[in-house]
Amino acid sequence: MSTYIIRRLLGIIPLLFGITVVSFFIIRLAPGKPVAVEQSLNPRVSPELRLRLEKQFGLDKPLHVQYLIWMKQIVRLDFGRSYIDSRPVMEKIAERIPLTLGLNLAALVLIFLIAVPLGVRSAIKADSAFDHSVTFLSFLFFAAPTFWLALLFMQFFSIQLGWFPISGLTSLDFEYFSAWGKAGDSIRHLFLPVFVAAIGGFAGLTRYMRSNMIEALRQPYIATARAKGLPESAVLYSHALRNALLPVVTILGLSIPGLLGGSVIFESIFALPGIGRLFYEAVMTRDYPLIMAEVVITAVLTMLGNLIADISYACVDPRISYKER
Amino acid sequence: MSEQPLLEITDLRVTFDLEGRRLTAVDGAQFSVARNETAVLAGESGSGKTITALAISRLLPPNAAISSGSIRFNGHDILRMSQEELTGMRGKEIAYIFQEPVSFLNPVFTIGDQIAETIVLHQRVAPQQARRQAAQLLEQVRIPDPQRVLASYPHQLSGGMNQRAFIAMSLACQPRLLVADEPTTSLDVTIEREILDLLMELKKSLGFSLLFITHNLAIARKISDRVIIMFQGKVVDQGATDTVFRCPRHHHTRELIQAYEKIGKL
Repeated sequence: MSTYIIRRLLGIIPLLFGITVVSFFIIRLAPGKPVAVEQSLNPRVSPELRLRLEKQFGLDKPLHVQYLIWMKQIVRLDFGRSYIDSRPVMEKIAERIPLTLGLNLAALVLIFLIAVPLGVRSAIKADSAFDHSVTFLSFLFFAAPTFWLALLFMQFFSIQLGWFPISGLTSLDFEYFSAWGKAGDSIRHLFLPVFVAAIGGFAGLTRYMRSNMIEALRQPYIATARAKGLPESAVLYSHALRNALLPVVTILGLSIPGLLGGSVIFESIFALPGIGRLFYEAVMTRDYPLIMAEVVITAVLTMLGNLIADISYACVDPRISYKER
Repeated sequence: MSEQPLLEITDLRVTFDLEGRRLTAVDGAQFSVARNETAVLAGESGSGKTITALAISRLLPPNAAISSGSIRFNGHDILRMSQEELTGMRGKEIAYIFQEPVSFLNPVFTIGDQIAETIVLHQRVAPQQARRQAAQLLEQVRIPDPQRVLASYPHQLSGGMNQRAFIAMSLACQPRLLVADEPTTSLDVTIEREILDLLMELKKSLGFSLLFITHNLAIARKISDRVIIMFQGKVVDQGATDTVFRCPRHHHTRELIQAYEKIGKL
């Protein structure tokens, strides 16, 4: 098992190299330059100043040299400073992590809490009215765009009912609240975003859980469990569910990169300062160090997520092992 | 004085609902199994053998239903039993073994867990006690290394080993009737012989009735006291094994026997 993990970790290196090369060149080949923004903001910037800025950022060197310089920094885990405000890139990302991570984690937990029981119930009562309404709602929420749902919920829950704040992370008078008041205020602000984020995901997972469970219930060992004299609840929740949950483990692993992904549309609608908006702004201003840092983080998380999914699958499914043969 | 049979099936009719289309899988089957008897239910694929076998414990798939007839087991009317009575009887009074032991065993539980589960369920003993009993049962079915097999998952064992373990699990609560649905069809010929010998030996020592389902007339002739021949959902011939093989009444039985004689297997 450990040799397998080491081999997989080593395999990340060439893959990461490929990803960074491609994204490094693509983002630099895209029209627009980081200095162009400063120019357009200030018409008095002279061509000389522009050249000086390019020289300062190292943008005057050939592309492959720029890449090598960047690579030399990266292997020392130095992601450089932002072109915009000269702050370390990692610092800018780190301050956005708690919000995005917290939001996505809460949404993920909510998704699993809703989708697993709903999908299982749907499968057990396949083709019943319950199953059909769950299917209908799943497809509806799956198809509905997040931004539209978000606006609908804001209109209904925040404006008409006034239950939750419309957007933002804190109230205006946040500073005057007690510690508990601050926590409560944040939760109230995050409720709608978490809810909306969960809705899109719950639909897919419910369908997935339903088909897993139906598949498990068709297996011959279910006939055995009944022939043994097990009560129906044990047949369903011990013998079938245990097998139906195995593939879900993979989904959990694969959702790890998404936890730090953030969503531009989503964070813009709710006016939340998350990673999604940071990345969006970085792309718009061609803030190369920040863009590349985001790319590296996402790539590493995706590959680690895949590895974790594979390892945890071997832990829960006795048929899978990575022993050297 | 004629003793009451252990299992008595009268005019059993099982119909499938295939999206509006009704299909009769078992059409008025009628036969009985006496105590300590080995009865073989034989016939070609699709003749309704397996469905009849499953109907005995009301284990039919959800789209199948028993539309008429009666099944009496040890004096009880199975079709009138409540769900609790049924689950109390399954595995304890009537046990099953199936065709492919690997797929009929749950892949995510060890052999030991699956045998102990049955024991705990029907005998209400502590898990450790059930585990000890499971080890004894594995010895009884001639598994050389019971402790290793107890800790193994089905995919780690051979087909023959799995079938032995399955037999141990089914006999854990000393059932009165063992229904064996083609238990050797998926196995090698040598293993088939071993499993058949084991079953007959266990039957002798434990004293249960065996309803053995097969399409193989050679096996039917070898092990059975009585044969029941099914054809297109109907029981077309039945009686003492020697009688049926010597003077078959139905033309289908004659055809089957002739087919076996032609290839020299009887």
